[in-house]
Amino acid sequence: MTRTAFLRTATLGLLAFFAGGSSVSIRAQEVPAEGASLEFADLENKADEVVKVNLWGRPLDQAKKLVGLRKNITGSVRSFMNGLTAVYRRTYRFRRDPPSEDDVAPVHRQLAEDGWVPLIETADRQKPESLSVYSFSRDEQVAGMTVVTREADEVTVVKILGPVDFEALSEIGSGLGLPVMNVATTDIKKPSGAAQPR
Amino acid sequence: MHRHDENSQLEAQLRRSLTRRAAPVGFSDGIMQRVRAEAGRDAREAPPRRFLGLPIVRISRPRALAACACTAAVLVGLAVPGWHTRRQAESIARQAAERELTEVLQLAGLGWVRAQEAAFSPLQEQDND
Repeated sequence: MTRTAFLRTATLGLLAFFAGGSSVSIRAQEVPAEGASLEFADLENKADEVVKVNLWGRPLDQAKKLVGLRKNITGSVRSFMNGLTAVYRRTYRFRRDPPSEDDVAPVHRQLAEDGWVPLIETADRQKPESLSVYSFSRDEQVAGMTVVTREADEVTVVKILGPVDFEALSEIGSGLGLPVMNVATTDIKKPSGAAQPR
Repeated sequence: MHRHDENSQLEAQLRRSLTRRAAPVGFSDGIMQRVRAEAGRDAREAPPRRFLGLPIVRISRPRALAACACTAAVLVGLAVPGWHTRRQAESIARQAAERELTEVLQLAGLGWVRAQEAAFSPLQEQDND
C-alpha cells in the first residue's frame, strides 16, 4: 500500500468513525404514541411544577434489572414488572390555584378516546379529591392500567402498559413486594378509606 | 605538389585540433557535483505532492512514528474524559430510571389499593351490619 493510499484510507476511516459516532449520539428518541397522548397543555400551563416520566425500551429494561436486583422483592412483583413494556407518569403540582374536576376532565376524555375503560372511580364531596382507575384490554387480557388522582394541590396520571397483575399491584400498594428506596414521600400517600364511590 | 602540401598542412592542423587531450584533474568530480546540485534544485523547486488539497510533507520514519505516537496520545487524552463522562451520565440515567420505575409502580399500587378500599369498604361495612 502506497503512502497516499494509506493516508486516504486512514482519513476516510477517521471520517467514518466520527460520522458514525455523531449519528449515534444525535439519534432522536421519540415518545411512543401511548405516551405522546399524555400531554395536557391546560394542566401544564396552570401547574407550578410538572413531572414527566417516559420509560420504555432500553432504559425501562435497565430499570427493571436494577429493581429486580433488590432484596425482598417478591416473585409476583418481579414477574409483573418484567412484563411491562412502557411506563408513563405526569404529575402536576399547584401551589396557588388548586386543580378542579374540570381541569382533570381532558385527561378522562383523552383516556376514553384511546379506548381505556374506567374500572373504579371515586370522589370525595367533602374534599377536592378524586381517584380513577382505568384498564385497557387486548385479546381478552388486561394489557394496561392508568391511575388518575386529583388532590388538593396535585394531579397525577400514571399509565403502565403490559399484562397487569392486580395481586402484585396490591402487594406494592400495601408496601410489600417492592422495597422502597429513596422515594419522595410527598408523592406517596398512605391509603385512606374515607373516599366514597362516585 | 602545391596542392599536396596544402593537404598535408590541413591534415596536420586537423590532427592537432583533434588530438585527444586528458581532462584536467578534478574535472569529472566537478561535473558530477554540478549534476547532483542541479537535481537537488529541481527536487526543491518541484511542486509538493498533495492529498485532499494538503501538501504531503516528506519526513523521516522516526519522525513519522513520533508524530503518530503524539497524535494517538492526544486522541486518547481527548477520548478518555469523554468516555468517563458518558459512563457517569449513563449510570445516573440508569439510577434515575430505576427510581422513576419504583415511583410509578408505587403510585399505581397505592392508587389501586385506595380505589379498592374506596369501592369495597362500604359494601363490607354493610355486610358486617
